[in-house]
Amino acid sequence: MLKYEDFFLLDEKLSSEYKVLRESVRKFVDNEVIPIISEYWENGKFPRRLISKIAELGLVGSYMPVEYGGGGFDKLAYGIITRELERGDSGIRSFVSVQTSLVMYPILTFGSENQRKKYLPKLASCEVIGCFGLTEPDAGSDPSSMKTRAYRKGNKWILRGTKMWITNANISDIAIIWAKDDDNIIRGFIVERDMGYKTKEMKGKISLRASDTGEVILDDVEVPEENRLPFAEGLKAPLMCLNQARFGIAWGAVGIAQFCLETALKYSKERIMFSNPIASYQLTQQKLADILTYTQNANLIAYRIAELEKEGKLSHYHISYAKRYNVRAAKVVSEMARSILGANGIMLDYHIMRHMTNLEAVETYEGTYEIHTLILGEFLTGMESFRK
Amino acid sequence: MRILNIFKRVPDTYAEIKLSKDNSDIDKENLNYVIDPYGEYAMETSLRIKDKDSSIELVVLTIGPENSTELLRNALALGFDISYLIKYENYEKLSPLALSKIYIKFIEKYGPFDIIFLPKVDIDTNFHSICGYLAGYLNINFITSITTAEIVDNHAIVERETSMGKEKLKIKTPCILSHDKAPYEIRLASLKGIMLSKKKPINIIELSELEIKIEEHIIRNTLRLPPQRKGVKFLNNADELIKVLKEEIKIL
Ligand SMILES: Cc1cc2nc3c(=O)[nH]c(=O)nc-3n(C[C@H](O)[C@H](O)[C@H](O)COP(=O)(O)OP(=O)(O)OC[C@H]3O[C@@H](n4cnc5c(N)ncnc54)[C@H](O)[C@@H]3O)c2cc1C
Repeated sequence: MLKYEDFFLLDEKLSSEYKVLRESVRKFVDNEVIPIISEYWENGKFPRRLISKIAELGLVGSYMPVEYGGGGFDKLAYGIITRELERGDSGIRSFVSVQTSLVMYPILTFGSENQRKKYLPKLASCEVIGCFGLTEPDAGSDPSSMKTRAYRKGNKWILRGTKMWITNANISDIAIIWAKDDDNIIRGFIVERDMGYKTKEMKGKISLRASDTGEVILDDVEVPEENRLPFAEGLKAPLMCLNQARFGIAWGAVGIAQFCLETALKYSKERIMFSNPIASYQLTQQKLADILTYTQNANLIAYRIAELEKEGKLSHYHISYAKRYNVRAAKVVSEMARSILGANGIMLDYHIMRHMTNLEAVETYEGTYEIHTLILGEFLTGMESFRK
Repeated sequence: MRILNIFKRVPDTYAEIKLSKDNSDIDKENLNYVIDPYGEYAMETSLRIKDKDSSIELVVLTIGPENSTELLRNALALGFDISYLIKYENYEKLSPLALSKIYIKFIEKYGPFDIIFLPKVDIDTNFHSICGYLAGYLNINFITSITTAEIVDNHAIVERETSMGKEKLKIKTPCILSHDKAPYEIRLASLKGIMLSKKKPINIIELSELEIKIEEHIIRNTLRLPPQRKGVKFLNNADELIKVLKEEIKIL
């Protein structure tokens, strides 16, 4: 019989390994994330106590090769992990996205063999926490306008600049820093905390409150040449990292939508108003039908990008499409679910409003909704319209 | 040393149970099936035993339809070495005696095992008898409702909770232990474990291979859901209570 949770029988056709993975992450989220997350979110703190369990379950570096401490799985596994984690909280998913796709991925892809051996296993086990510094106070959607510089000095580089909005910054031991060299070419560096970068917590967020966000200040930090990512040249390198992470965000948004769907449906059947369950009223049913549709569409897209990736046919346009649509879908779903829960909907206890506000950050980072619109516009028309 | 864990495939303990139209069974459509919770605790105990001595071979067995292999995959991902499914769609209809006979055939064919763990009760049918049947047939010792177990030499040291308190018992292997809730958390499958499980076998056994005739020893006539709980009524004072007891419940 048809289940609303898996309307298109997508989870059902997963092979047993992926089903075990889904169950395992879901149990972790149900037992260990959801019961504590509201408090951390309210206090504006990232729950560091979850890190060891996340590492133990192998949720970081899932698609990295086993020889470097990774899980040796494919992107579908990464998608399932991010979907189930974000069902708990976008901040937890962000932690795993950054560590996996924005720190491990560039070291694997653009790093030397020594760098891979030195950093990847410790990143996978979370003995070392990393962050990814691309955005700056005056360079957001347009990272090519970055001001951070890397000056060559013999066998060393001097990094100077400030990165802003950096996830995991304050808890980081290493930072992947993107900076322009003397020829204005963007280069990537693995900067260790001991080399002297400073971080400052960014307080006062009303979104993604259970995630650590900070500034990374590089005040003439000396970095040896051996810490430069040798195969990263130009903006393409950080953008390739973002595309890995966006894949996980597209999946993660589905987790939120699924959570909202389940919560709103259950609530609407139990909540009696005017002597009947509110689920029996047509206006509620319309909302539920819309919630179902957005949720399942997003899930279909998530599965499809995983299939395309497996077939080697995934383009960055697909990823933009998926990140843009799925996050917007989750936003619409969370707003409708919030309304079904009435006053309870604004309470932390019911989790929906937390998801709803988290989605504002999720829709902004890794390319805003508008930027992905422009990418699709460029795909359709062949005309770039980012700049005049 | 070889340990066998037998678990029961049961409907998700959180699932909302509905009856089939003719009230002869529960409505199985849409039900999610899981490893029974006591079987899960028993598996955790076996895994803890293996944590201390990796030379121990852990074998897991269940009975059910083909897709029970998903549950076995989970066991393999947790650290079990070999898994077996006895394929039989109608396993939920089997009496404890019939189930025991099947398990015994399996043990005779694929054994011997030093310890056999079972759930203390099959939570779907609420029968407790398999442990006793197996011990009787195999002529070995058994202890029911244990909460923890460790291996010391050729013995299992187990704990149980009784109405007089916690007791610690020592039993010689081979033995059968039925497992209660354990005082520790059950581990979750890690990505690494799932990867390793891909190389481990899930063996499917057709019932015919065990050369056993299934008899219906117990036939269920009907099934009824427990009565629905009526809503709660809040009363303001003792006078109201007396009035309700007199006029509505009529016991005063
Ligand atoms: C919680 C959080 C965590 C983050 N973590 C990281 C991190 O770990 N590492 C990192 O490097 N960055 C991170 N970011 C930064 C994020 O990637 C940027 O915020 C994002 O790229 C947008 O940049 P901006 O905020 O400067 O907005 P702006 O670029 O100033 O954009 C403002 C508005 O203008 C729109 N806009 C911009 N250009 C155009 C255009 N050409 N046409 C039409 N509209 C346009 C945008 O869509 C947006 O609506 C994080 C951000 C947040 C909120």
